[in-house]
Amino acid sequence: MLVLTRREGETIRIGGEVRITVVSISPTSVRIAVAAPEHVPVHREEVFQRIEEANREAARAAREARLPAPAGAAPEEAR
Amino acid sequence: MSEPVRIRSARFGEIEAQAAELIEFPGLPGFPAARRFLVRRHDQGDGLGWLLCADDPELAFVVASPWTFVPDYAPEVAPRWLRALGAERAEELEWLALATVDETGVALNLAAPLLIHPRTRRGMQVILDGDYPLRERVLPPPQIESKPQK
Repeated sequence: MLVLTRREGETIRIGGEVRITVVSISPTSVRIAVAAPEHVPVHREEVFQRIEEANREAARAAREARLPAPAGAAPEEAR
Repeated sequence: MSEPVRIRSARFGEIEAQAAELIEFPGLPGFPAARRFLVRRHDQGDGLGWLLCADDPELAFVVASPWTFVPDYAPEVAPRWLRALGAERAEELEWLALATVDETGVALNLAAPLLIHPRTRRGMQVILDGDYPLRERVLPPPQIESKPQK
């Protein structure tokens, strides 16, 4: 992993399109500005992880769910 | 116009579809390689449907229109989502919520719905700003039992 030191107002560039700027620094937190193209979603790590976990749980539950087959599926005896 | 394709599903076998029915996602959180999906309603009307991944026979989700269960759901649409999906107006988009169905009932993920543009066939899962529930309980257990056909 690359570790860099930056001061307030300084920026890191990731690839050609993503810029991360340190806006302000306090003793306990850092305020960061992210400029990224619209197709690149930017989220706090813990928010993204919650969605990942919810998606995995939904997929797990769907394997077991006692629900009718999708329209267009072959009848069960033909599978 | 469109060619027939066969979706392989570990649970349901082969499902016939048209290539033009498939929706292209840039992956989903937790499933970055899952790109092409097919939305199919159940063969019984219960407000739920299947989202089947054409790239992974093991991957399927239960989905629902959020308004079927939560009529006052009114999230804001970010302009960048419209642009990413090739939409001009929010009204062009279809919304699906991922459902978790288990012995405790049905819960909808209202915090991160799927947006789909029916014309461009592009979709994405968005993470809403604000306090939307990740697991909104919408049905208790007994109502998810599939009813025998008359």
